[in-house]
Amino acid sequence: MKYYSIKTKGIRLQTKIFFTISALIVVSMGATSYFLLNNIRKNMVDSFRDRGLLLATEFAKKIAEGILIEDLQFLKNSADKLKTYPDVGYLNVYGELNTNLVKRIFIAGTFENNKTLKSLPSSTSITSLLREKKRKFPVLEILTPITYENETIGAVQLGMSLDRIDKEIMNRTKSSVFLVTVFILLSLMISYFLSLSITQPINSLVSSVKMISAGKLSHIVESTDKNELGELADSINKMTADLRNTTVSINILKKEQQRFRDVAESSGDWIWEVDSEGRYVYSNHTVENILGYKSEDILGKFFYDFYPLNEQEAIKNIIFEAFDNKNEVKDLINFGVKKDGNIINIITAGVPILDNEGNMIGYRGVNRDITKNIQAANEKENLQSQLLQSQKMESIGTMASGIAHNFNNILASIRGYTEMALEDTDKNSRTYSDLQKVIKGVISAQKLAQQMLIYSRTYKDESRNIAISPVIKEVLSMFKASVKGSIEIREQIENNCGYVLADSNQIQHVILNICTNSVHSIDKPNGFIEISLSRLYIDTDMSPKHANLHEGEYIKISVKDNGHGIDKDTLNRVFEPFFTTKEIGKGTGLGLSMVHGIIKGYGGAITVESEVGKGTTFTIYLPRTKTI
Amino acid sequence: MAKILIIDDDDVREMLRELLERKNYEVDVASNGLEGVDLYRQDPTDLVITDIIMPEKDGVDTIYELGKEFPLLKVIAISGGGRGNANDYLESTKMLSSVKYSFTKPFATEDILKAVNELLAITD
Repeated sequence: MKYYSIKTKGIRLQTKIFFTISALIVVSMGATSYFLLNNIRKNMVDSFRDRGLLLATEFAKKIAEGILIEDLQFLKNSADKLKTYPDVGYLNVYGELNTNLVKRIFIAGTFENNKTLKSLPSSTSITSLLREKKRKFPVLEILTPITYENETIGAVQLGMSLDRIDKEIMNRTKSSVFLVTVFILLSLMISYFLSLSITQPINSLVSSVKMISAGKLSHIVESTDKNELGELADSINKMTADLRNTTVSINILKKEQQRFRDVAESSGDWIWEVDSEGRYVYSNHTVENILGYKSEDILGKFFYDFYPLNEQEAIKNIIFEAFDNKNEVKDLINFGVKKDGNIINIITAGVPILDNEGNMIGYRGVNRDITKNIQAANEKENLQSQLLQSQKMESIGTMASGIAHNFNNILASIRGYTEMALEDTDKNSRTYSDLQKVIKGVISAQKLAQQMLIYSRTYKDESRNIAISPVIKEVLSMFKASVKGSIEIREQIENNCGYVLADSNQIQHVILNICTNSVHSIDKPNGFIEISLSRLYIDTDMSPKHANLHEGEYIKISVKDNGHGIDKDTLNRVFEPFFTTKEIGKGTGLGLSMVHGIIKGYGGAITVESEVGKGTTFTIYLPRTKTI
Repeated sequence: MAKILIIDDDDVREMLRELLERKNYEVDVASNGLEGVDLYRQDPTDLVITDIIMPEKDGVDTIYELGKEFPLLKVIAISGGGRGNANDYLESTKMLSSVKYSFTKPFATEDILKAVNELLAITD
């Protein structure tokens, strides 16, 4: 948090106020005194001038005759008399010694002799203050003509000493300096207390604000003043109260934020937010578990950047439509491309983020990786369809056994009556041979019923531990004898594959059945049938591919051909009883269903893979017996 | 003349009756085990030919019951198979000492007659 300093730069406020006021007082007092004294002096000088002028002109009048008659004694006496007047510094009297010479000067003064004037003045002149070098005081010099019958006959030069004025001024200055000093001292004290009275409440405000800024928000600024400072204190208290509330709100917000963050980060789901254009602006770290990207890697990227290329348009349409309509998205099953390129299934839920005016400013939501769920669902579906298939086969089997039972009863009657009829018939008659054909029909019907019973596993088999390799070899030699030369029979039979608990006749029946189907499927030259026999260990990971076999030792018999193959629809039905692709009359459709029934009866499984035009492979798994 | 009891619930019963009557055997018929046991008790025959799968009382029970009461009982068992473990039943009848032959339907009349002749000739 940032604290704002209330300190002024460098000098404290109190000092500043104090010095400013002091300086003002000193300057103003000094100036006032100066002007006052100056004025007094000027007035005094003026009165000196007036007096000097009067003295000089009066003196000039008094001595005019003395000049004229050159009565030096008279002049001297008159001058001495004048000199006794206060403030007369010096007195010079000029006159013509000879009537034609101006410069002849009488010196009646006490100060200087034989001074000359260049010319006699025509009227009175007053020279400004002169400071004579020899004297330490200023002099006001007045030069006035001496006239007789309107003719200038000489001049009086009177120097008024201003010494008294200076002394007076000096005295006055001294007293005024004292007064000013006293006044200044008083003023300083006043200004100190004044500055103190201003800054004290400010200082207390400052310390209060410092406390508040240091975080003690419960502090209340106390001020009984009803002035601006009081208002300021009230304002500060109000601000502090607001700040308190805000701080409480901020703390609540912080907690909320932390809670949200904790929830978001601990979630197994990928929580995200995009802007109105679909760019990620937030993502929790779970995205790394789901997509393999770090959350900071996806920020700024578009949501559809993480879709398979061929799905991007579709997802853009869906999401931007939701954006445009400000709609929520629920249970949207879609895709994601992981960093390693793998495609996963994702379920998405999201809501639009609206500003106060209801404009779409973004979208946020949750993605969950449901790849495993979908795989599990698919597996479950497969299992269910397998279960359904086996239930279907079993019910058909039950039905088949029931049919077979009744069928056998009917056949027994037909056969019995026909044989009795044969007994009564002439062996050379047509009736006899016809009845014989009935018997043949009964026998083939009987075989069919027997097959139905095998299918339904009610046919009694002679299961025992048989060594599988010799059994397969024997049936193959039988089979090869029956196959035309154009089809190549390949054998990959491992010797000593061990034992299985089975009826060797049935096993041979199964192999022959499958091999015969292969022969029928080969409709081109260079056909081959490859029969292989091997051992195999099936663990639980492999099991689903092998029709839910238990983990353990198996023998594997496979029959592979390069015939016309089986299309997908047919492939799903090959093990159903009475399902046949052969022309009517050419096959009973019981072959593969019987094979299926027999193998299942032994705790084994049979699978088929086929591709149209390329061929078919039947694979049989039979559990190997542990002991011989 | 030897007398034979045929116990069967379907058409085979009538076919066998005709077959055996043609060979001059005296024939009694019953359409299920319960009826067959009653008839045999009233009038024990030289031979019983019985089906296995039948309503009311099946062949195995019939043979077992009669076998206990009549130690000298001779039986030929026949069965059409199907319906659960019918063949196992037929097979199990072999365990019963009174069952001398068993046939699976449809059988050749020749085989039945051969068995009948053999069994009745011994008693004669």
